[in-house]
Amino acid sequence: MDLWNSVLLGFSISLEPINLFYCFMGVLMGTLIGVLPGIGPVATISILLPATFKMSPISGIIMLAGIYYGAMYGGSTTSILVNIPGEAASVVTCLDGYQMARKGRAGPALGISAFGSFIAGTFAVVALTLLAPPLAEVALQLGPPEYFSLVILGFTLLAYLAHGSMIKALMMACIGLIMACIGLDFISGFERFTYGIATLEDGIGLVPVAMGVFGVGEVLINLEESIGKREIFKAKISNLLPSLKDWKDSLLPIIRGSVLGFFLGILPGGGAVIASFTSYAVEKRFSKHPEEFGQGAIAGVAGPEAANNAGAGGNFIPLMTLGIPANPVMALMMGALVIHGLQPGPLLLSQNPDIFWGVIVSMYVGNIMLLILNLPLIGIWIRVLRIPYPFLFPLILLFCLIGSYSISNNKFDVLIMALFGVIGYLLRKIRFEAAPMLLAMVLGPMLEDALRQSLIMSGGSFTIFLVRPFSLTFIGLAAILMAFPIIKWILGKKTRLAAELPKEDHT
Amino acid sequence: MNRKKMRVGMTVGVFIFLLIPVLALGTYPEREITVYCGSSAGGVTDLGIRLLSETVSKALGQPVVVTNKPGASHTICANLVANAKPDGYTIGALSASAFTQVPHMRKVPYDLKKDFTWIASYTDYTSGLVVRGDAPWKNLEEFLDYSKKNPGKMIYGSDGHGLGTHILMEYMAVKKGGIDWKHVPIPGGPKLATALLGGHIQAWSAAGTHVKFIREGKIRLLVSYNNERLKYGPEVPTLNELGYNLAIGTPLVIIGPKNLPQPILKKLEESFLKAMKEPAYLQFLERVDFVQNFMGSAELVKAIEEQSKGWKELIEVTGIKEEKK
Repeated sequence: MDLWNSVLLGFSISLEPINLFYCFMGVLMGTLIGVLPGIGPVATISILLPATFKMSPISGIIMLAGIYYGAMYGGSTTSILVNIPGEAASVVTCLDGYQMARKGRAGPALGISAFGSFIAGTFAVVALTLLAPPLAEVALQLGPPEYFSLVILGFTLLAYLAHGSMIKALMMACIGLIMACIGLDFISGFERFTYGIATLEDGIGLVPVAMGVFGVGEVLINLEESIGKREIFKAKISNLLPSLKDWKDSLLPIIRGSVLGFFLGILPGGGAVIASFTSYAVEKRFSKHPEEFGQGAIAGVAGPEAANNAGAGGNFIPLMTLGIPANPVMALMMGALVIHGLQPGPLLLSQNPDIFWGVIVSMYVGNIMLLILNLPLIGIWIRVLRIPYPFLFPLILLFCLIGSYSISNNKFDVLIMALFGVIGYLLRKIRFEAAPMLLAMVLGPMLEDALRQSLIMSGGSFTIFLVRPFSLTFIGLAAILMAFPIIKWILGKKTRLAAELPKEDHT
Repeated sequence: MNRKKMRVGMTVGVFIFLLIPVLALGTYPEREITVYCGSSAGGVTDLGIRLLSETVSKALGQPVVVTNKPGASHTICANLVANAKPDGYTIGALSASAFTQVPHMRKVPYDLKKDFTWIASYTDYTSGLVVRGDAPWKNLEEFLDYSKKNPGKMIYGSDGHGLGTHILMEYMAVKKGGIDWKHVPIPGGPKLATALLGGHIQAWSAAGTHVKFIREGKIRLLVSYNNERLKYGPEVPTLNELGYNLAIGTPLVIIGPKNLPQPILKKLEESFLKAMKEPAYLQFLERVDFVQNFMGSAELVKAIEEQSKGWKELIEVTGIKEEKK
């Protein structure tokens, strides 16, 4: 099937009324939870995962994908108007977006976010369409040794690009790896750390943990921080359409953000959050007026907002072609596919072209819906921001309870969810990021399986990772990345892009 | 007089009270029936029982609700059914491996002989050994000969350590007088297919997912583990035709707790067996390449007993067992 026919197949599927409906529901919900602080795409997708059991797999995945990239649009609204990130990938948008709003330029800030998101989102889908099929071909050449090296590279990138403390990110990843060891080891048939509890044979589920950390934990922290002291931008918002000068200032950042975001999204360990932070740092370096950053520079809104949308699109490449989730959201997507008996990986494209193209093409449609939702209808979302927390938070907690039980109708999952709610709250208090832990929970078993499968194949020799060209390349890249900070440190230079960011911590 | 009246009234009352269960039996089912399903939503175990439950629900005039209770190789579900009230309102649908294989390797909290009433089986996995379409081995004999003559060279994959597909391969190795080959456990059919097509493993001891690749001509079946030959590979013999004579299989079964009253068992057995004959269900099995293995209660009891013995023997002969701590 050539590309053109594939795209047509995709359109024929994604334009079916039922799929259009679920696409709309997805982007609508995505914008909503993007706007609402206290709940992000990870929590929402984990809550809604059980609901997709009853849908066709295509509709389910289309909706979940819509939530993810929809949240990228919605998140900026809250950042700009309230100076609270609606979700993690919009943290940097607060820096200049809110300053713009204070100077009476909320309109152009919201406008450029929506347009930047649209351009980047569309760019990512086009790139996805062109790049995924050849990558899926290559991916067939990758066996367990290559997967091992690739995941190692992913972890290295994760640590290198983390926007907080690198040591803390690595510590969280280690905790995730340890948690991933719980359960029945299918290579030897041993039970590990199950203490005779039958439910633990399958390990600790990602979904209840995600729901606890990102849903309950977020609610708890918001309860403490923001009740009563929310300052919503009250002035009437005008001039949503950015002026010619605004466009001139933002066009290059949007283009750079799109490309950067997309490629950071492809890398295992990358994603929308890292993409937005990196884009902000890059724009500040490129800018002729770096002193304007933090004072309401439109480039500081346009770049990151484009980058997080492109990153969200790029994320689908490792998932759909390799079966490696780049971040917790993609891990949940993988869960949704697997539940329907579909294994994301090199064979997905040839075995289930309807799923593959249906989902990708639905993103073209979804991006157009989002542009409409976020420009002409922006007023609705501003009103949503005024929903009192005393109504909102109990609802989120209720959905978390229902959601965690309905994954496998097991009370144990509810307990796990509640426990990790508290843990998530504490982590936020001591400024540890939960995302590396969740990612490690998913990549950990992959890493271990690939390592042990490789060693079975090689008869115990570690050289198998160095004699295969792809594997060697990945290991080499990881080694260079690890060596980089050391070399720079010896030369006494600033190393990480994160150093460009203001010290202020919003997350 | 008054007292006498009261006594009579009480006696009648007690009688009626005692009669309730008996009367209820006559009209079973009076309310909805819950079916615990051993797998998570979406698998064949789940989709199959959902289709059947729909038909049965129409026939019995009460809703039959499937609730997924996945986990621990279906043993969580088995235990739930073992501890349910034997009133016919809680039954289970799960893989027989939870009874015939797992207990020989790990401790389980139930006893397959004492804790269950066997209602019916509704399908069986299609399984077999496959290699890539361009592989040099044309039949099982050639494949085993090559593996025997080239110690350490053959790498095969299965869904996991201690699963039926792994046990069978090791049994063939024992029968061949010991083969030094490597087993790579890769969970999930599509991942195994990727590994085989990508050349990372040379053979795949498969359960189900392989059939569509056989249809596409990408892989070749060397032997079928089922009792019948595969529809898409009618020229390939079964293990038993090659003289292995194994009483094995992995049926998906419908069960209830022990002491399920005879009339209820009869009713459930009849309605489910009837539902399996529906064209919608037969087409479903066709689509997912699963076998039409429909056993009633008596037949199933016998089959489970034989298969449990069969797998036990295989597990002992091959030495595949979780070591005692």
